Amino acid sequence: MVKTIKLGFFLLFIGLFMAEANAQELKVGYLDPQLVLERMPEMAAVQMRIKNFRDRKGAEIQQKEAAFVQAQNDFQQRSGVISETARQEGQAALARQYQDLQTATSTAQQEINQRTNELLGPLLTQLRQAIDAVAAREGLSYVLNTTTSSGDQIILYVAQDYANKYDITDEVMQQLGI
Amino acid sequence: MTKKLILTCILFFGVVQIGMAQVKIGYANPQAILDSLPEVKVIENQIVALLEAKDSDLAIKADSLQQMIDTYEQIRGTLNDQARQSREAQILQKEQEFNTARESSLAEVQQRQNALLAPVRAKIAEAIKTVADEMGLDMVLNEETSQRSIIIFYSSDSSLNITEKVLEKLK
Repeated sequence: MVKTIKLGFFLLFIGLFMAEANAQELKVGYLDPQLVLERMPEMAAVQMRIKNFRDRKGAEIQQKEAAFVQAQNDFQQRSGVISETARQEGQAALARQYQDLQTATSTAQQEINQRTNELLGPLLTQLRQAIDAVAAREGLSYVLNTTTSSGDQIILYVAQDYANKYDITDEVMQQLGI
Repeated sequence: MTKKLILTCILFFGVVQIGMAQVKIGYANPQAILDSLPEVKVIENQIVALLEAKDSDLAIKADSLQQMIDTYEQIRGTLNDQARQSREAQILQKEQEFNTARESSLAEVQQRQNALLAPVRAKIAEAIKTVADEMGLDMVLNEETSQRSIIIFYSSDSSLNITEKVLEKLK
């Protein structure tokens, strides 16, 4: 009888240990943030502002390019009738202008990236908070992204039963009131 | 009595374990799978041939543009301002046409490559699904991106790498 009780306690202990281990069960959710971002009502305005900014920077660069081409043509026209010193000075000026153009192009790209981050920042923060809220509510240990920003799949396949439970894209949209 | 207790406990914990099974995550490298398939090599050869054909078209256009520039350089001294500006505008337009043709060629090749690879990619996706279902995997992750950026650095269980199994299915 004592032996049986001891065994009972032993099995109970094992049971509690297993229950504890199961309580820490790994639950991995996932979502496509791009899909959520595109459905956010503020996104259309943000995309329009990014496009306008990009167009404006593009026009500035095109203007600089046209000025450089013009300077190059002017120099070529004059090069036959100017002194060697003037030619060297002209070439140096063209090289400086080209360098300025390169710098302006790279600065414009940086400004476009910065502006994009500034405009998308608040939306990404909202998205992040919604993901955190859904993950906490559903007891998820991790939430994965389905796709990289360059379009590569991170998740190649999900079993249908698992997708029904752990694809939180819709829940995150609901959390955001979309 | 003891036997009954043990049996009951085993059954109970067994059911609990099954009910709360851990998520089972496998991983695969679709890029490595693509690189290993003989039909992809055939597609690559077709794309190289297409690129060469496009390059030869572009080379003709580039020669024509260069010829226009050379002729202009030779006669520039004899032209008045108006004629010079007109010639330069023609050259600029020709150059823009050349750039547009080059970009459109590259886009066409890219589109053709995607179209040829689409059925192969669909076959790979189907094979991944089959292997995952056979192994009872809940999810299959990509091991690395197409640009070879690593997503999964380490796995304690190499049997969860299903790349070879997917390749076997595709044979």
